[in-house]
Amino acid sequence: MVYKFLFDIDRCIDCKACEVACKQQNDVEIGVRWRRVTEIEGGKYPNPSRTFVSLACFHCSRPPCITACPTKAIYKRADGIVINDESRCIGCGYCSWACPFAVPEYGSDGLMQKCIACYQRIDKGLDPACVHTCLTGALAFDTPAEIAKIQVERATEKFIISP
Amino acid sequence: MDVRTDAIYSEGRMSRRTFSKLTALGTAAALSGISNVGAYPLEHFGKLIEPAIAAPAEAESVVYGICEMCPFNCGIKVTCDGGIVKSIEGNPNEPHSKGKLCARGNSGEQVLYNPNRVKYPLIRTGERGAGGWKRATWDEALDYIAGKLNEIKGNYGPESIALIQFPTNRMVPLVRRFQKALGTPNYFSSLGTCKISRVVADIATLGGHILNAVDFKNAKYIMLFGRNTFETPATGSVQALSAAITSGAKLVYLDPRYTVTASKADEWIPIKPGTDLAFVLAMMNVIIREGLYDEEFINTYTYGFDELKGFIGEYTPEWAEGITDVPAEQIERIAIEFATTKPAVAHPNWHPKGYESETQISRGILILNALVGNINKPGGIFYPRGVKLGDIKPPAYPEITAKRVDGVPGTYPLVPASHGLWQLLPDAIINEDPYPVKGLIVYRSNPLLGMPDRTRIIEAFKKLDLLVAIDILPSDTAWYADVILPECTYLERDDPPMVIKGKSPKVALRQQCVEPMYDSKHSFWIFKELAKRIGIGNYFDFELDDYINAQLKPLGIDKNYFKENSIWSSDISPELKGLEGMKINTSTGKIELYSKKLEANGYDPLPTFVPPKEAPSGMFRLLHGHIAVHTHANPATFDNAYLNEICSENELWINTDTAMDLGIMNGEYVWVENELSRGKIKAKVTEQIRPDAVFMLHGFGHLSPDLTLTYGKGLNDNDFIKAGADPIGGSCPMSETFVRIYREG
Repeated sequence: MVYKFLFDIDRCIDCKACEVACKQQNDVEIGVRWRRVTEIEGGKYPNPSRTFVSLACFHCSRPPCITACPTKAIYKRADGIVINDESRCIGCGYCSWACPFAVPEYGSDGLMQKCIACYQRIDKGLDPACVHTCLTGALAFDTPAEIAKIQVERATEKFIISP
Repeated sequence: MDVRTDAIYSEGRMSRRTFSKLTALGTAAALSGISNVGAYPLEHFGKLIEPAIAAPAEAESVVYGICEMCPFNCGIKVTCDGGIVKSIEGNPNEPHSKGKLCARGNSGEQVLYNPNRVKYPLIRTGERGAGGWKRATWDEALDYIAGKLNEIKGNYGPESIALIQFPTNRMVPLVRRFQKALGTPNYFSSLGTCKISRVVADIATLGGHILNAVDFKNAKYIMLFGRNTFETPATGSVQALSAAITSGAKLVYLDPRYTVTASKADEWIPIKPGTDLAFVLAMMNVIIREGLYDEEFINTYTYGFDELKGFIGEYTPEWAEGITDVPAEQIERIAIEFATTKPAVAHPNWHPKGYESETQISRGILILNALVGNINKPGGIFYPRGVKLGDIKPPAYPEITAKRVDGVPGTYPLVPASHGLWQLLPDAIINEDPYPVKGLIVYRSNPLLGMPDRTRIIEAFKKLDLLVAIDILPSDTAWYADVILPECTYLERDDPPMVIKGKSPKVALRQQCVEPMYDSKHSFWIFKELAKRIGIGNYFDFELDDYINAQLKPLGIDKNYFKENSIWSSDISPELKGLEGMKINTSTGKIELYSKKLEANGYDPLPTFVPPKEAPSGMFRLLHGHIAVHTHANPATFDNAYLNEICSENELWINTDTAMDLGIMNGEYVWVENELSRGKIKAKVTEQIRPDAVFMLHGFGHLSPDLTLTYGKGLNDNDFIKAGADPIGGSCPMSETFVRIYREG
């Protein structure tokens, strides 16, 4: 069984609770973010648009970072969570280059850091801190089957309620 | 000693991780410099470690408490380990947070472990605001304050001492006890630059203030008149509004700015600033003309429908179109949708925009809800239910004969004296009108940034014989104080209980999670010690625990209840069953569309539209507002490593076309100027605002150099705003502010 993040773009309100919950849980240093909410502006007054995207590591099924890492510091747990072992990391930054989303970031110690999906919480049967605090249900962390179920439910709701 | 000697500057922050490591190493190790924290002054850590070492190194424990990062006071669940706060999350049993917190709530450890905290009492040595301080013992500081208070009292009378306090602080009843025992009428909350007009509108219309009681979750049609719910995140409202949207409710949002809430709305209406009431009146016009109002509700529960009907005839959608910039057909359609979609609700707002007609804007929205009969029903606005707490009866208070200096209730008969109009205090101090105010105690509030016209406030501060700041962080106000007293944070103390009003009331208790750091104290102890020294100690002849237990007594519980339970719940049914059998506290016993209270006090009993001031040629209306990661002018969020990282500086929002006309590029620093001030700010050239208004986030431009993360960053909106008051409800008309914008040179 593997886990994945779900992000629902319709629900994200840019409140940044996920970012801060992550920092709090993992004591992430200032300047580095394991989860980041980004805004995309568009449109033209009086029809502008704002879209918010909350991104962390995707915990890819075939993680390019693992392939790229020359010291095998990055590994995948049986539950799909991709973790970097800082004791093996040499800080070459290949993982960040290989990642299509540039997720791994340098810490001030020159070693790479990234989202570990709060695996300590997962091991206790809890959601990651970002998911736990999300006020609007924009984030979830679950098995692909459960995520598909949520997505279908939400799409169906939208289909029913749109005139 | 300079207060800055002990502060940590650009080197960074004290993180919980660093703190834990230090604790593990122990004082000796830390003092010998073993650890990765060599960049920090060692004496700082010596001081820091004491309480943590003294605390029993017990296993992980969970304490339920109350957040204090914003006024909403959500329930929190704090996990501690060996005297250190490990994590803060929402209390799943508390009705607002339901286990979830906003960014600010999640960042609480950055207040607790903020190296910039005021660590011990400080007495000013140099000029006011020059930053010279000497470290004092509590006895020295309190004796100094008491001496000054007694002197002021002797020279000018007790009324010459004023107090300012944030209105949702749990210590409000005890600070008011101090004020009344002292014999001064001059107690202020910050509501004068907030929702005081809405409070007055609620009282005049519904017979009482209904707070944020809007049942978003069950509504099918929601109108927000600038109520930017998603960026002033009360966790409960955010969750309820989001749930309503996802289950198909239509959201109509009016605001000159395309906020996050606007981006989630089905319809964003960039209404001309200050004209919301015209829109609301035109909606009423349509609803009444088309006979779409709830006749039974109107006949049974409201007063003054005939007067309203006669009054509303001239306020047609065509009339409103010319005022609001919203097409008449759109207003007409929305009015019909609002009246025919059940249940539909319009949020009566919080600080409805900051115009002189603020009370009437709020009343207009309340009347709109009454017309469709959606009060105290699912999906409507409702009367929140509370429970009555006990008290320790104080001895008789001295009679206070002096009038308040802000004209409450003489000039402002409807403004509750429990809040007053703080924005009028600086002028009263400067002009000594109606008498001198020479002493000011500011407890956990930052008027120097939170009130309009900073230059004027500093001028007022300079006329005081005594300015005391009781705070956690060295706020701007503290920077100008004579004495700063360090208070402990919400994670380091118990507090009087809080009634969570709502459909079914609950009671929560703030409980201490860790020992107070440094030489910080609970404000109960501070006020009690001060009281003793100025001869009113008999009003505080008890301990905080006694007070908490006395307050909880009517519920049949005491403080210990909260060791086992995260919340106390009443057995009142949360069902909203309309108004049948409910006592409405107006003179007619009904919801007053036509307000007898306003009429009796010489005000317009009907919500007549008063146009906002027009911008002088070449100037733009300055709007201000909030973002989800900051709270008002509170250093606890601005000088907070986690939140400052996300939003460290405010920008001036300028419409793209306007910027093009002015030759302003995105990201460059531009001048903002009016008759009160001039300052530079980064331009955000955007499609998300009307061309005739500019916007900046409130709360930036801190003056206190000891707030090292936020000092010198951004511009203070209040520098450009004049102090004033809505003649009925008293809220400061902060959006009646115009500025010129230009490039360098």
